[in-house]
Amino acid sequence: MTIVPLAGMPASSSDSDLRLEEKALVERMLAGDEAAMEELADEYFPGLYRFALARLDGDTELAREVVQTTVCKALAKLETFRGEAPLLGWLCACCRNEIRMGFRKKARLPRVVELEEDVASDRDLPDGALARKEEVRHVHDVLDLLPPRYARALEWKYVERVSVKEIAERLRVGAKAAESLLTRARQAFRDGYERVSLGEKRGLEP
Amino acid sequence: MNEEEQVRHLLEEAGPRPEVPPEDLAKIKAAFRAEWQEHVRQRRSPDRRLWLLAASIVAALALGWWLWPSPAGPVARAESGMRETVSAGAKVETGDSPAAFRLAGGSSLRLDAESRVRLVSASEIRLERGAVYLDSEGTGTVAVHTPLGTVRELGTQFEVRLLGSAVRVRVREGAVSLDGNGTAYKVEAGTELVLHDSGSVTGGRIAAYGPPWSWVLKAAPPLRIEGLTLEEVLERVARETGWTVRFEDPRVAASADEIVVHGDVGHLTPDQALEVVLPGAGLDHRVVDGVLILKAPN
Repeated sequence: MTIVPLAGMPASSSDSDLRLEEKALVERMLAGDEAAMEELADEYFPGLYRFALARLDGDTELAREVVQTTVCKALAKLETFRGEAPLLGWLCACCRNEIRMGFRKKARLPRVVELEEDVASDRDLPDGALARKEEVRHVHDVLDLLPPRYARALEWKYVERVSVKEIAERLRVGAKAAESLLTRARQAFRDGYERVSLGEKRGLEP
Repeated sequence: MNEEEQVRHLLEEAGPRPEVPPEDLAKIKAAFRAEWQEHVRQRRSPDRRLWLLAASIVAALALGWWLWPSPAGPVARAESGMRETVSAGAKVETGDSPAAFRLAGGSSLRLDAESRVRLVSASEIRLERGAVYLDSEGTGTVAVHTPLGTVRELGTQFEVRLLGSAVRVRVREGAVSLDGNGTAYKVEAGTELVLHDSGSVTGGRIAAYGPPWSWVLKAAPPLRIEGLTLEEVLERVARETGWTVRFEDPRVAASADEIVVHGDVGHLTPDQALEVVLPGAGLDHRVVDGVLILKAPN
């Protein structure tokens, strides 16, 4: 069957293509595709773990428990995943709720205002060091919320200083495609960085 | 410093993201795998046969709909309330009000007033008169057959309406394919396509909110808000209305997932429910060009 786009109708953006890819991945997994389940776990769980760890004062055991509970509970809810927001952002929202519920159960104050929490735990740090720590976490958060291949490509190029040719080989695409992907990844990173900087709510803001 | 240099600077300064302990990831993945296997097993269970919940929550909106249990069977009319289930192959017809159902696969199906469909299966609907609206919420693929072609969803919200000798498809979210006259057309979000029986095709833009979707909103099941966070309530309202949500004050945005809503908004439509929920949350709102703008009162 040939799909013929209607003349004059807008082509889908790369961003919406990514959302569709994520949605398709989720649907394949829910339909019983084991490779899709593996891919989802490998691509998204590390970022989710870092998200939890950063909000649990680096407690790895607690982070593992929270992430494990989050992903198991999220499985049923994934039926409702619509692909409108990044999948990891969606999972992070579930994780945030899980953390909050965990603290409520323990009759402790919910740790929802993350900056205040960090300020309290880092109160002994000099201002400059604290700001730098915040900035690093901020950048890592934005990377984690990007599509995994965007984040990997950016880290390869700017952290590991891998050449575009090598990135293309790792991604199994041509050099031009790698350049194009890097351009989109930079744009996505800037957008994400700006959104987080402005304090906007992911998933609620357009 | 140009934009690439800014990105380079930020990433170089931040360095690599922390490694995740492989043993922790392995444990998480093992638990997830076990949960996933159970989920898939249940999903494939024959118990997941066709069922449609004509939920009581739509009773106040749907004043009446008729059910033919089988193509040759007698006409059965819901005298009061809603029939709980509709069998495969049944025909459903609405009177002067729309009605809402939930398909077995999880999709929300709505029938406009004066419409008639045959529910071939949980994933196949034959539209015989009027209009249907489907919101898959990412749960699966439903095909709507019409005399002029078949519309297949690709994970989306869309309307299919018979217009005399034409079929019109309006897509609110995602995309659908319309297979008619031997050609498949892809219809993307924000657009509509009309396929005439002459084979000609016309199309145009359509907003995700406003009058084109009024009947869908009217047919929507009332919001069940008890225990939801304000953020979740807003997401549901946005999905039904087609609005986007914007906070004028980041502090208000930050509190949206902290506010837990209690109570019942009865049979108010989602947009009407906001009139009740938001004042209780201490927020003012207005809607401008499909954007729901929220702020703290002055």
